[in-house]
Amino acid sequence: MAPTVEFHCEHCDSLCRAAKSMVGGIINCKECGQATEVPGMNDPAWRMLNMGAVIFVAGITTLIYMRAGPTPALIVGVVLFALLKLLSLAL
Amino acid sequence: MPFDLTSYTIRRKILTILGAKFHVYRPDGSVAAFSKQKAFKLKEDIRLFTDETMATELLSIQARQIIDFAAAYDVVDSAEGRKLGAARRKGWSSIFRDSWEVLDEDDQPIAKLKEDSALAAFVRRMIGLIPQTFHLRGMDGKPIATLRVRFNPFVYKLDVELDPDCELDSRLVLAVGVLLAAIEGRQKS
Repeated sequence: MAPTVEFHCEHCDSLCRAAKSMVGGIINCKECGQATEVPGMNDPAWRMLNMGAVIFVAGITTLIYMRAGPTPALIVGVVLFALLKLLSLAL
Repeated sequence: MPFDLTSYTIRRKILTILGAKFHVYRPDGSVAAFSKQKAFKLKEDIRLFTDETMATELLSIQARQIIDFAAAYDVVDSAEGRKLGAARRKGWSSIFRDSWEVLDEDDQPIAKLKEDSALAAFVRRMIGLIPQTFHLRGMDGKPIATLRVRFNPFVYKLDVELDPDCELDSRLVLAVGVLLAAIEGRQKS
């Protein structure tokens, strides 16, 4: 049996199940019949982007730590992380 | 019902830099649908509206993945809020001959779309500017629709002719046409 994911319908909040291959796609809710998104990202490009973002933040933070000390590094790290989080939500 | 005819023309401006605009015309030249595709979107999200005011949304076509190599696109009727089905590009086969699968709402294949012939597809890939023709057939081989790209180096025009006995939802066929104009048209522009 194909692996499934569980989530709640965005319209009626009932529990829905979908094949894992449907993550990021849309299914019709069995309860209310409305189209609802299967949440999450099951995408190689997305995983690579996420990994790239983590390496980028870690690299910049380390660089600033070595040049300017822990406080500026912490501030830049937090700001960069927050910006990337906002960007990922916007996408 | 905006999609109850058997013939449409989809027009896409090739020279649009920031995104693309699509018009779906009826045979009498009136606009049946309009879409403005946003540029720089990671995931393809095409919305079809009744006209350029974009006040009434008809269809939404959304990619499941960022990479469109073999991505599936879910087609949702925006008024009913129901998924009608999906279209999936067959990535490897499309290198030699464009092929798509049309899926029902449960992701089961219900139709296949292919470029007219392997030889013509090869010649097109070697020499550009040769317009494409696609045949949409049911899983039993029954013709559903023919989609023909017109020869025009500046404006991408795709004629969609639905079989009069077509059993497939015409909105799904139109969505496949818009996807061809958006994805295949972009790759060739």
